[in-house]
Amino acid sequence: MIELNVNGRPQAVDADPATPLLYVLRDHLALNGAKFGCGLGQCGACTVMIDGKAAFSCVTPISALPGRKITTVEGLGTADNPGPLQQAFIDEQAAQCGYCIAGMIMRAQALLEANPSPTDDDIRRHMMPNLCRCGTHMRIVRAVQRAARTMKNVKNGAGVNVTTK
Amino acid sequence: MLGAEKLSDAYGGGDAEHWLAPAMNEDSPAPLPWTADEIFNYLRYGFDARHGIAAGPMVDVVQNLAKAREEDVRAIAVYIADRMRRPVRQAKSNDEANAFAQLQESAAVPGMGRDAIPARSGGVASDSGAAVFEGACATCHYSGSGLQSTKPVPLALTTSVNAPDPRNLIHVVQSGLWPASGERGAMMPGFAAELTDDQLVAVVSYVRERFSRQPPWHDVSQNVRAIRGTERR
Amino acid sequence: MNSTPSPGLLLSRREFLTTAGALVVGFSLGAVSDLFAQRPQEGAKLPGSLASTPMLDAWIRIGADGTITVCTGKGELGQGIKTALIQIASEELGVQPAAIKPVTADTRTTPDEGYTAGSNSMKDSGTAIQNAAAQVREILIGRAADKLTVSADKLVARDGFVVTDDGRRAAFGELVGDNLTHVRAQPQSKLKDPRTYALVGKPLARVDIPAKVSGGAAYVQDLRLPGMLHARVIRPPSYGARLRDVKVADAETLPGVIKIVRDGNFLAVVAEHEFQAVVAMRALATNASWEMRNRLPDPSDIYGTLRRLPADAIVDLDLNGQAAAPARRLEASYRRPYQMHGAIGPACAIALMKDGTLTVWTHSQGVYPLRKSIAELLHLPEDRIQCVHAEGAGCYGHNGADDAAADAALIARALPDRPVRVQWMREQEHAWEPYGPAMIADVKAALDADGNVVEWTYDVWSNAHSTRPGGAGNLLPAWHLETPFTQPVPKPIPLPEGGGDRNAIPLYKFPNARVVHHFIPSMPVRVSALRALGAYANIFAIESFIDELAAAASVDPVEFRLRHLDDPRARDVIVMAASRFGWANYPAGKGRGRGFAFARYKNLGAYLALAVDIEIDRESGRVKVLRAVAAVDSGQPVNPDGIRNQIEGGIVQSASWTLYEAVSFDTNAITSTDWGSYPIARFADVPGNVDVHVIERPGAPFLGTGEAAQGPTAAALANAIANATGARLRELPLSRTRVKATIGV
Repeated sequence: MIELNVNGRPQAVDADPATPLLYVLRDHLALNGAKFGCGLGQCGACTVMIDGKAAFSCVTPISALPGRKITTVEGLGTADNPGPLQQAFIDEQAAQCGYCIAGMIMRAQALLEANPSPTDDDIRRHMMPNLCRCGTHMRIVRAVQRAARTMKNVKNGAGVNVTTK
Repeated sequence: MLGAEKLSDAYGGGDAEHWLAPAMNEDSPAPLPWTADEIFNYLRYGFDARHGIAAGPMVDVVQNLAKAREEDVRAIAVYIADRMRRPVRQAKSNDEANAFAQLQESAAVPGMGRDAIPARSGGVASDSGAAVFEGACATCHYSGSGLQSTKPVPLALTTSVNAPDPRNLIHVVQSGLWPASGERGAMMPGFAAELTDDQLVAVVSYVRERFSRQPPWHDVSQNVRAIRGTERR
Repeated sequence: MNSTPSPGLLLSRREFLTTAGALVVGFSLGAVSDLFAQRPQEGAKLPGSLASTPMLDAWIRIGADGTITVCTGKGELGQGIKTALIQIASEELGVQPAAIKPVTADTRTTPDEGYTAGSNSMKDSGTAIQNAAAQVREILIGRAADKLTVSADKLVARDGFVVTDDGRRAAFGELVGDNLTHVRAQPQSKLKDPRTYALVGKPLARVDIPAKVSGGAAYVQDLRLPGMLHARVIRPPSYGARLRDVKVADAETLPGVIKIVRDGNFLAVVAEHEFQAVVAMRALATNASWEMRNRLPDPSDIYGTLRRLPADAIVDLDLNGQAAAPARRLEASYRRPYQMHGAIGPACAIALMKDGTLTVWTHSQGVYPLRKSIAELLHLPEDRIQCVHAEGAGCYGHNGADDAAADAALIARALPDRPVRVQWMREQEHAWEPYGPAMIADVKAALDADGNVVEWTYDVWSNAHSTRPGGAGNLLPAWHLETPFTQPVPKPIPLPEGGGDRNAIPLYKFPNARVVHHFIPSMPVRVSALRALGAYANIFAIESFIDELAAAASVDPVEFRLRHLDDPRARDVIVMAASRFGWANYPAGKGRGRGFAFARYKNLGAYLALAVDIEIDRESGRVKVLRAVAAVDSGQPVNPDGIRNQIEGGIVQSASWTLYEAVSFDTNAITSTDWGSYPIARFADVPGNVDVHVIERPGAPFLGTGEAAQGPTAAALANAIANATGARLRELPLSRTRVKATIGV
């Protein structure tokens, strides 16, 4: 058994230590957010946060994860009660097929935690590892900017009405 | 990384931006000797199938050489090949080096952590290094990889795994390899976020001790800490 | 950014005078007199897909509790169809969008609408649902009139009730007993007046996005059925390879392995957990020995190979008219390589064989044709198979979805009573999907002394653009069985839709024109439908050559297009794109270039024009797209933001195809097997800004939009490169290497 901390909850997982985190999230813990895209660390569909940094869950064996904090898109909110980035993606309608989007949100979350006021260039540079095939990139950049604004407003006590357009 | 900037020091290698510029004389760590054609490939395209991929500051060198005329790059390659002579560390024969590389990459099916082959004795690598390798690296660095047509250079043949110090391997494991945008090329994720310092030390030590017949590295830990934070894309 | 164009603002006085007659016709589409353009004529066939599925309750079902279910035979592919159909149905039924429960393609519950493809969903399903909903509403109103003893014209449908003006009401659920709506549709419907639309034409947030941003079960990949097992297929190393021998002992004893399935060259493994299946797949791959049999053509001479293959010449157009004498002749040849769909999520399917009945959950674009194909594959009657559409990653055409469904079906047959989930690996998706075909287009034209095109000759060579399953022979695993199915000889898709000749006929008015489609039945590389089909290469060729002709005639490329067009809606998108881009005032700069292109998709769908602004880095040859401005006319827009999203995405995707993409192979095998060997656009590569202007045509028929940007984007980029460098690139992709070679750095 390997002890993992996923979205703040301890989870004991019975899987080979070389198993990539992605498979454990999806298959053992029934979490849908992280997606299989390439299994090679090339596309970012599987992106989660490990200790606050964006990471490819498809090439991170669970043996490397005891004692570290794993956050998936499920850890940011729900469809009924979305977190600021999730809400921003809804507000900007920043998805077409949406398969890449959970990974996009997690990589963006890591950026905003480190840099609350990124420029468009910062966002584009930071998001390079993640692929989108539908061409939703510009909307994704806008959604990240929108989330940055709402997160700052919340932080500054300017209200929590994150859905305001 | 092959030569970088250290051309003045009788091709003996040196440092460039916290990377090692490996020797380009008889002290070259490459298990297979470089031919002029291979040096040309490396300088012109940043890649040679028997030696590896240009990374770190060498990427800039390749980019600059891309502006040079082809015959000029070829002349440089011929000149360097001549200077490299017979590397003293190379394997007894190319066949033997290739056989060792093949054996080490086919030893176990990736994902079967419990069957991971141990590092050679006398080193510092731990079981955790083997488990990380099996889960993080072996999908691609494995002879049965699904990427048959775009298989990476066998680790045992790469200069960075056989170099006198671990800096270049640490850089690559930490930052990965990314082709120029829109261009075909070897692609590898960096593991800076995925692995802790201790895990980077473990996997780098393990790779050295599984894939190189050079002595184990004993300064991996200090180098990982020194290089941490210098991720380069 | 929606706007109805104002001709006085957008057209110069001279242009207005030369085309005034046509303009009047064009804008009458939006005039009140023609509000009901979608209403079919008396005696015409039923509108949209009602023609093939005429019963109203096949489309709209209202339960006794008032629940409203809207069924479509189309699938959500990420294009937003579910939301747009909800808008249409709720508009006509007079309910809130949230009151509608949509059900998408399912062979047991929805109409058979063939494939979700060709940008036809709004035209087929949207039109059917719009008319069915209007007719159901009128039936409910009729019943309520009897019940409430009020004349029907005093009643309206509002929020699930039929209400009188004095406040009495009857709920839909109370009105629908005894199969009230189980009736055939009428050719005519009392459609709402577009001026009163509350929902159609207004942006509506997509209903599928909240689950997609929060880890909800949104995709077939996310379905977890009780007792579900995981499978992986071990594919041959190349087309046609034979499995000589496989040692299964190592894999059989691995943890979690349940079964190894082999049928000829088809080899798969099933395990309890997904990663156990991956490990076992690797063990089997290591222990399998294959005999390579097929050879692929020499990639350096692929276009020569294609020209030499036998081809059927189909004359698409042969116009011989009066014209001025030719003063100058030009000719050019354009090439497009094999290109990949490149779904971000590899193909996936789940199948369950239970009590002799097979259920398949699939992201196939056509559940009914898939059912027929699997029936043939498994030798089962069709009524023993149910295919249910569940979303996958965006497909952009016929990719591995159907093949994965067939994989799952074959494995589930060998392992009854347990659901089996199969997902392809990245390298399998890259190497085995059917690519968009390589194409060659030769164009010749003559200009008269005034710079008008008087002769036009166009020859396009192409493989088939659809090898979709309509039988087992087009399913990849069927080729690998001990008793294999062979791929049927493909047939060309006839015009007006067209395959290799989609958009091969220019919309421009040329007095003499000949268009020939050289259809090549033999396929050295596996190919099928990729978004826009042949329109991508044909529009690239035509719109590039139009710029070459404009340059030869010393006429501005936008002006040159307008001179040769009299379709007013075509002119409108061109004028709007040029004006919003600032075409006339473009600041020329070193390494900068502007490019323009136009097409009407399939010559019968949406009109689209766009202008791009690029910058070329002379040292690397890299083309950076600074901005793109498009104008689109999709008829009556349903969800304008959905249209913008599709066009923005189409521009970005086509820019990626155009600048970077070509499937690589050697004489043994496909060598584009990951994102390093088949690079696509990443964040640094996409345009700085894309503006999409939607021209509204209230009440006009829905025009397919999803593929409209693919061709024009390619040509606009080539034209911009020519503008920036003075050199013309005619072979795709317009890569750094080619740009550099052209500018001679």
